[in-house]
Amino acid sequence: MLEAYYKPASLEEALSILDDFAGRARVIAGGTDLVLQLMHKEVAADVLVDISGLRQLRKIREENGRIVIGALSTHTDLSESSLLQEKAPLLSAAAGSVGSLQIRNVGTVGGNIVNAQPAADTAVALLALDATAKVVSLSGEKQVLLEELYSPLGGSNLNPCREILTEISFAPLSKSKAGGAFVRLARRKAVALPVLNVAVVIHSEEAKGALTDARIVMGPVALTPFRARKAEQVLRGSFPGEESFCRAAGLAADEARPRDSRFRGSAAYRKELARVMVLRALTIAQSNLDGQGVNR
Amino acid sequence: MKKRGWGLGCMWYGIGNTGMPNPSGAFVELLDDATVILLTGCADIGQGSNTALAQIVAEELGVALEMVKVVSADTGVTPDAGATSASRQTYISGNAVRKAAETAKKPLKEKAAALLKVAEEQIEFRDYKIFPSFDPKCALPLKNVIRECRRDGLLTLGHGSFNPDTAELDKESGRGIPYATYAFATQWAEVEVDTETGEVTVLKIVAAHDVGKAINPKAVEGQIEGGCSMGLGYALMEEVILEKGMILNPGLSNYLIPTFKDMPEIISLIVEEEEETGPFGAKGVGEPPLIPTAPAILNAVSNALGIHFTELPLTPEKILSALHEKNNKGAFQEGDLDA
Amino acid sequence: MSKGKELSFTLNNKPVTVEVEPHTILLDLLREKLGLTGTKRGCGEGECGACTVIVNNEAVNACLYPAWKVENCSVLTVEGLGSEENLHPLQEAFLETGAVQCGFCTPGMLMSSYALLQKTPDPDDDEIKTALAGNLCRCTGYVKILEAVKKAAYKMKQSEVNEEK
Repeated sequence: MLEAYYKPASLEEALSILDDFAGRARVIAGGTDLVLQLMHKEVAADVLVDISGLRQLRKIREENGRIVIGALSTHTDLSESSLLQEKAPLLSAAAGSVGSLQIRNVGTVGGNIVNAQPAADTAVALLALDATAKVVSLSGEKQVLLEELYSPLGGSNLNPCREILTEISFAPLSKSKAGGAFVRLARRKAVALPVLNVAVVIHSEEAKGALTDARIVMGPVALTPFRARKAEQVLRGSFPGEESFCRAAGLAADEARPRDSRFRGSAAYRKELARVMVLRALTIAQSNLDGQGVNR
Repeated sequence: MKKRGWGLGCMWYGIGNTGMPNPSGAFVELLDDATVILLTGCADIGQGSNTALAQIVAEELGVALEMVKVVSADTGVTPDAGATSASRQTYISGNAVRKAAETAKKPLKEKAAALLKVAEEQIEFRDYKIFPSFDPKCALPLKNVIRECRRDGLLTLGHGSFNPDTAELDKESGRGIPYATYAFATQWAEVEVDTETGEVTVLKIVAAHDVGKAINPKAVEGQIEGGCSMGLGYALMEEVILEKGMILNPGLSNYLIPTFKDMPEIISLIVEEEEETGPFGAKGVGEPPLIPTAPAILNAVSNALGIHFTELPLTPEKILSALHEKNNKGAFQEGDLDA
Repeated sequence: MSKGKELSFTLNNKPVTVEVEPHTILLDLLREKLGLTGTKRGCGEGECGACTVIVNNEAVNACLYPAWKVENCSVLTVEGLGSEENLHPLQEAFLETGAVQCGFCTPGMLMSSYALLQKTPDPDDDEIKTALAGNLCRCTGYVKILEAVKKAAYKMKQSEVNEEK
């Protein structure tokens, strides 16, 4: 049973309350995951520190050539953002596929990251965008790669009893130099966790030229959102097209380590799905890069 | 690649409990101001039986629907009408309430026949009037006839019951008369199958249902549309997953049912082939709509892929597995990976 | 620091101040403490939408919503949508089209539809389906609900036109 529910008016106040309770207090943002985890006693907390009143943490902006998203921005904010629709459409698509509208209206991008589910759609897209996270605590502020917030054994490296994720930022996909895509398959057409989701971003310096960089992230095929590094490696320096994409998709499927699941299906099926969906995502990303995509 | 397919599913289904008595009773009272009290044990769980039964009574007594006050499913005051199950209430309780209304109007019929000097069989009730069927112009206002009955100390109160004509099934041969009547239906489904992921999208369902007589067409459509959504879930996603006798997916987060986005356009075609033993020709439509949906969808998938499927739910994995097998790539097996 | 026990917010356009525990969930506050049982508890885990209410113009699942979150917010429940004598156009449309069967999903459907029409007065089918995908219905197959929302949108537009006249 909770002892107290705090609604601090500033970040400093939030951090000092967390400090006061020395591990017994925990940050809550939208709470769409945390409330259930508390009810099911999967997470323990004596005190909740609700940071949803910190308005400065709810924003989506372009600052100094980077897209900056406040951690309290909701999935709805992300999916409806015209900035993201233009400069990181895979992210708005991913955020729009999370849960139901009721969940998207409340659940935050920060929560999606800190909750660290391997298939969290929004986080998977952010990882493909090579996002950076800003984390604050009483000892100061640090910028970390989003990837580094994930513990290899699953879960988050961020300590919600001491630290607060405040911002996520990444470079926008520049026109005709980068293309991205997000695809997912679920057991029904809405409000269902993905059987598999894939986010990719590819970069190229010139039209139809060799790819300079590629990031392929998928879930849930491991304990954390999974980067298909071998597939990425193969794409770097390759010319985009069916041949290289098929090869990368095959490698990505080989790398993925899904488990047999009574709900999501056999590992073998999901490996095949990984191949199909990575190939699809790359193809869409390429057409977005070429400026022909519908989602660009 | 996406492939389209079309499939049909047909069914016939017995109305009522199988080969056993399943009676229903009702009380109807017609008050002085033509208000009607209907007591029925029938539980309206949303299918609209309160409305349909009131419509039957109003029709029988020649009064507006608004005049019928329904008291239902209250064991303190209502007679037993059996369960709201087996697609039986419109047919069985519908007959019971109609008979109760017939009994309630008997004194009125006798009184009107005497006043109009015609035979009782020639008397009709409509629009708050009682008249000889051959001469509607010389009609008596219903309320006046009720008043005449009251003068003689006669109540306009009736009980009715109905039990479908069935015979127990022979334990050896299984023969007998399980149901007094049957519903018939055909549904057609159009699907699109993603041949690389196995995902199925149902694009359209056309559902033709013989309901005898649609007492309330909008409610009948509602039953058909709802049944189709259950049938679609049954076809593609719904499954109780058991492990050592425990249900692994007891909640709505993992026992998935169709959402708004899973449902296609549904075109309901109501076929009215009147059932002579039904109230105004009506039969039942509760369960029938969800029966042919899964076969129609599976046949549509088969039509798209040229593969016959026999297992529900037809998940994307089963489809892709069958496609791989067909293309000699081998079906998916569980546990063939180290992780 | 709002650790205090008195929670103030606007409920169905009226100010409310009520004693609330730190762990209380909005759904329980509405149903158990304030007696507003129009909002339904379905799954209790944010999957079915039967508990949908509007907080500051947005549809949320009351079953997952800490009560303290509504401090100084405006909350609208089905009780605030219309009354028996004066139904909201959405309620009229649901009745007229037969969009209600067992009725358990109906309050949530109404609130999600209301939030949608406030934001998108003239939604297309896909917008309606997206806005209502988090509201499960086992009875209707959603067909008549779709029809009802479109009808309500039309009614609301007409009444605006009439008001302008």
